[in-house]
Amino acid sequence: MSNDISRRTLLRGGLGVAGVGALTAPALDRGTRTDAQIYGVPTADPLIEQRADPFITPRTGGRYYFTGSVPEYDRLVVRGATTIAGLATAAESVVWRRPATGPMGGHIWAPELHRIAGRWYLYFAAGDAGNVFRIRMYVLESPLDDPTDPAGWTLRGQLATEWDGFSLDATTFAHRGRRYLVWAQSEPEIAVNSSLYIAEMSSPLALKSKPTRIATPTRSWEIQGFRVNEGPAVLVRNGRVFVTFSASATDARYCVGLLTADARADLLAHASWSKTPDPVFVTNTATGRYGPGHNSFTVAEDGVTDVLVYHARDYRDIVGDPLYDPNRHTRVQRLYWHPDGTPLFGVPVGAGGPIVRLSPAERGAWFVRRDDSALVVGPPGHALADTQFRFVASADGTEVIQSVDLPDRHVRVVDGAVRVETGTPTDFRRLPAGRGVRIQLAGDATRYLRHERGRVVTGDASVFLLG
Amino acid sequence: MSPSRAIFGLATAALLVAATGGAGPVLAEAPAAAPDYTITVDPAATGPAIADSMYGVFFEDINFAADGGLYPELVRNRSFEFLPADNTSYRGLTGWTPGGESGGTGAATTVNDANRLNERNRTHLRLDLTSPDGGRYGVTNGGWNTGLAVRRGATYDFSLWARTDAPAGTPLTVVLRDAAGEPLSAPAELTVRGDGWTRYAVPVRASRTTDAGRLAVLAGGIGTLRLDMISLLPRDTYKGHGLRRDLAEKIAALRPGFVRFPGGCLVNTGSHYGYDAASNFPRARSYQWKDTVGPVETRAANANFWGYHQSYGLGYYEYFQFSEDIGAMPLPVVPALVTGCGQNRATNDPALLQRHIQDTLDLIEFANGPASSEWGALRARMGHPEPFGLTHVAVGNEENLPDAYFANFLRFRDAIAAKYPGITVVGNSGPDDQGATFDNLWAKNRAAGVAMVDEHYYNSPAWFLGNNRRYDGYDRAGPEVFLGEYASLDNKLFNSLAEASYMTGLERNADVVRMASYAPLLANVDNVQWRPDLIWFDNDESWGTTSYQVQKLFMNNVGDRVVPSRATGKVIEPKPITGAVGLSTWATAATYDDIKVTTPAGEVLFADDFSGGAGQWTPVEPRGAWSVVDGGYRQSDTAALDTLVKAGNITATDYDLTLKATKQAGAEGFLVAFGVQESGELYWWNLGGWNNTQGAIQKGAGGSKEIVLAKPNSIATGVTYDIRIEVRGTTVRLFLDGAEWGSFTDNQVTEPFAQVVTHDDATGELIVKVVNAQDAPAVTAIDLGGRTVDRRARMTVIAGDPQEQNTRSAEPIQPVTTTVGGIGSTFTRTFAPNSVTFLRLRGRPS
Repeated sequence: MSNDISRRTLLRGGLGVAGVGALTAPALDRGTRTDAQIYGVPTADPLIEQRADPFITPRTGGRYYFTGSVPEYDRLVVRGATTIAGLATAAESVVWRRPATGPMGGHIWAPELHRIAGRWYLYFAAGDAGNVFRIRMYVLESPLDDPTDPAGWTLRGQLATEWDGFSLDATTFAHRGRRYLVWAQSEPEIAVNSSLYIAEMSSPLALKSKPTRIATPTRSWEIQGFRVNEGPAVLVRNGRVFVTFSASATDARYCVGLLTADARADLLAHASWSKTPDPVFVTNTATGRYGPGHNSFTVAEDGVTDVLVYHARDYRDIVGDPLYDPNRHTRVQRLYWHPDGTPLFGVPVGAGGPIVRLSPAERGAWFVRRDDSALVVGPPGHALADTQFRFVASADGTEVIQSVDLPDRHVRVVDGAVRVETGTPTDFRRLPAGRGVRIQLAGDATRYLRHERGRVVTGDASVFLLG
Repeated sequence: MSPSRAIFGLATAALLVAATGGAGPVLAEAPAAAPDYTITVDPAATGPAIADSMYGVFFEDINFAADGGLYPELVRNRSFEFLPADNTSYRGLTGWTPGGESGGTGAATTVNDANRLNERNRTHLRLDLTSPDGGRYGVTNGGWNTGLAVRRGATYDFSLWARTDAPAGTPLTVVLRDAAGEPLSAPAELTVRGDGWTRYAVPVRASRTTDAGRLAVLAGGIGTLRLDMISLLPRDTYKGHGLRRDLAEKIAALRPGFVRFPGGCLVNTGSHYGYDAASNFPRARSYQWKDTVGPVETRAANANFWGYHQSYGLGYYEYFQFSEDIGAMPLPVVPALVTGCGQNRATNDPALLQRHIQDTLDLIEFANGPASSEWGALRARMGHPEPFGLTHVAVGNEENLPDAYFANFLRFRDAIAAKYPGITVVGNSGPDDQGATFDNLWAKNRAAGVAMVDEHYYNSPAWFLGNNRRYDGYDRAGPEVFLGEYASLDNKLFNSLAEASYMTGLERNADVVRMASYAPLLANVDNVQWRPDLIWFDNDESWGTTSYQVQKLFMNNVGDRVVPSRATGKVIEPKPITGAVGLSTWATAATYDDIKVTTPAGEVLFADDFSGGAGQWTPVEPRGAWSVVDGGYRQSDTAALDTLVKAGNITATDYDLTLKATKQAGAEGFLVAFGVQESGELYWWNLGGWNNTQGAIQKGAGGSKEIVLAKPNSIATGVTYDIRIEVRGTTVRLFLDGAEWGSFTDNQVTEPFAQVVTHDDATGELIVKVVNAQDAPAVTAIDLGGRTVDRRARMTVIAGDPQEQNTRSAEPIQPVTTTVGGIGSTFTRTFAPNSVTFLRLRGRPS
């Protein structure tokens, strides 16, 4: 993470908010870039089946490494590949198995891989053989460059906290010269399953400060089924430290919330952190992705595009305990940024090809947006998904334009009016035009999609930039 | 929310005046938007004086509040008196680890024999030492919580009593260590000489700071060494009077008007006989003050009602001294020979009753008598020749046997009145805010002209928000009220807001409610028998809950006189009872079957006969063993408590819940829930509750449930009962085997906005106290009734997420004090969502 910050600092000359706009509309050149390149993130969905609590490292030594919970909750696995997409088919190495008895012989949950001072660390949560839910945090260490090599790993014991209790989901990051641990734990005074804590670390294996609670489930979306804040993931961007976390029971009610601190604030002070009032990433019945959460972040191969890594199911209704339903699959999608520097999560995008956003060339900071059934153009908002579209190619070379958050709707031109609705989609052709494209009606080569005073109409062509 | 509705009866007229423009200049300054609320101060009337004792604290040794808390002894089980009678896990060596070092050997046992330190300190440690050639053998103490908490550079006074049969004496080494055995102090050496009990003392200085220290006491040589009262006390204590500084300071910062002590259930449970041979040294005794004074090694040990050992290191002298040190009125509670708190026994022994009455008279002498009197002399010997100025004594606590209790109470009161007519004797009204015992005891207290009655209740926030006017209707000519124990049942900000709202009602009725104390005061985070609590701590840290912050704000801004005011504005209307249905048990195995929810017209909203399993049901708490057995849904774990499972989501407002219930085994009966919300709020019909003696409708969430109605009831094992609950909006009728068992209407209006205004005589300030216990801001038009005040005022606000808590890991809810402008005879302020706001308005000549 720290490397990432300095790279961005160099790129933009500072962490100020002003530089952010560049991210939301990166240089666009339709002529040389495919939608897949523009989107920048693999579209295979799921990326990996039956791997929950997914964690993908930053690219390290030219490779991405993946780890996550297996449905059997009995082992730690790591896979590596040169690309994120390659993780889907990469061989999976079992680097550690739980003992038959005693501590760590119970449920094995939510491993994370971190490279610290030339060594790999696997932070994970484990129950006891006699009490699989007596979950505590533990650490494995490997001096090898390759974390998939089981030979390198040594158990370094429990990561002890101020008070003994149900504790899990450790993640670590370095920021402004200090290393921190963020994790989920129960606290005797608070009648919830788990809250989130931060502490400074004295080493990758031990805490230096007392824990500070940075979030506890207080809002309705955090207490559905279980009162849970867990699965923290840290992302330092735009002068802020963002911590996403997951809330509620691990069924379709599971969702992602967001904490934010100023990057210069004392991260060990509760007052430095604020919780976004509503969840940022939730079940989407239209895309058919349920209970998204326990996310992590990585950066795509281009070194710039942020990637949201999470798990979700394809169905809402679960027979039995959701914990033992194996089909929380690993998924990845692009994380976007608002010009104000805050992250835009959108919706779980579901199945389909690469996703693009359209901006009129003459208003490059604006976006084409679905407003109910209308197609409008306006300044960027905080709802991302209504600006996301897929160009879906037909065999004849034409394309239809599909809404991402309502995938049964497409752009239709009916009696000259442009709508986003169900029904037979209208076919279009994209024609390169400078840094963007003109979008021609396949059935009438004289007419194009056109931006006119905040609305998308048909007529003479506007040039749309793709981002 | 409803449209505006008068909160107080008189307010409607005021609104009308404003609406018709009759208020003239007042309207000129009114904001464009209509206010949500108005506060109108009466221009002329004066309200009741507020007693200096209005708000105080209630200290009870619960949650390790004394030993392991305010009494800062670092050694756990210093006197080897921990016994299974105190707690089944206790042994004489609990807290201690024996062992040898450097080749030392020996044996450590605790013995209760004639070699004891004294008659009341019955057990001591016997070390049989067998280290002729060097080496050390002894015991190491692990302290409280994570260990002994010591600070680098601080001095600790080590002492012990010892005797040895080694002719040349026995060398002792005393050293502080960390958990890994590394030293935390230089070793202190001393030599025990002679086979008679002698006290040895040596200061120990900590070289490092830790909350996980150990104290090792190691002996050399051979022989029999006897040790007792191995003690390590910090030299740095509150005002040098021997109490843990951070806890005492947090209590002092409340500026309590009184300290009620020492309990609570602690006072009047167990045996009322003495700790003596004639009574066979009963271990679980009521709190008998003479057990707790004099040299600590002579104080009688006791089994604490709350399940642990009570050393009485914190005793009556220390309570009086602490009260004096924090400027609070001492209010001791003595037992009335009738136990409460589930024991509910009356001891009929006239001689014993007379002894306790005499003890109480002696207590008054101990507190107030001249140093030349017998008990005054003891006080003087303990270090306080001047009297403590005792004015009030409470007799009894939460007795459930009103007749037996009150007969004894009158004996105490009359004896005290005869000898000490200036002493106010406080009675009580039992353990709840209402009900038969409450009514009975209030009638008795009123008839007997009792000066003050102690009320106790722990209820949901909704109860506190709905009962602001409880004391408006109390008889001004009857006994005064001491609200000795109350709390809204959780430690979240919302609970504290509900308490704050309620406190405005206490203050408005300051002529009736003369004293009030939140309870309990203290909780050791690792040893909690009761929650919520006001101040939490571990062995080296302490922190105040949101209720602590609210109490502190009220207690530091009481004022001397109420300035009558009234408010108008929105209230929250009752909602129909909807939500999931639930099944639960309490220490009971039971089977439920044929569960059906139907509309009055017969439409089935939910049904389960468990022929297809129990897939519709989800556990609310991961407790109990639920499975489908013989076509019914059975909870089979008789140890599990509150095993709630729920199903369905009834959105209709009128419906009937019917089911069959059969008890298989266990202590109680059935718990059938309805109106179960995602928040955990629910109603349940508790059948065969309280060890199969009572039935009740309870309302609340989690451990926080109040009784809506209760009556005697028991459930037979092996009998299938037909249960029907008819819900019609907010009215519920309950049928057991077809017969109506009871009914209730829960149409309590919730008042999220509350206010009171007081006058501070010393500063001439008006203190406007406003509670806004809802998620919306409250735009409020305030009319001071013609009083002129400075344009600027000091404002203190406690606000935040209503579900937040202050704990050791973060204390997000804190008061914020600022200076605000725009104040005047009439002004508008917007009170933040979920806030308590105190405005101190400085008066100005008009």
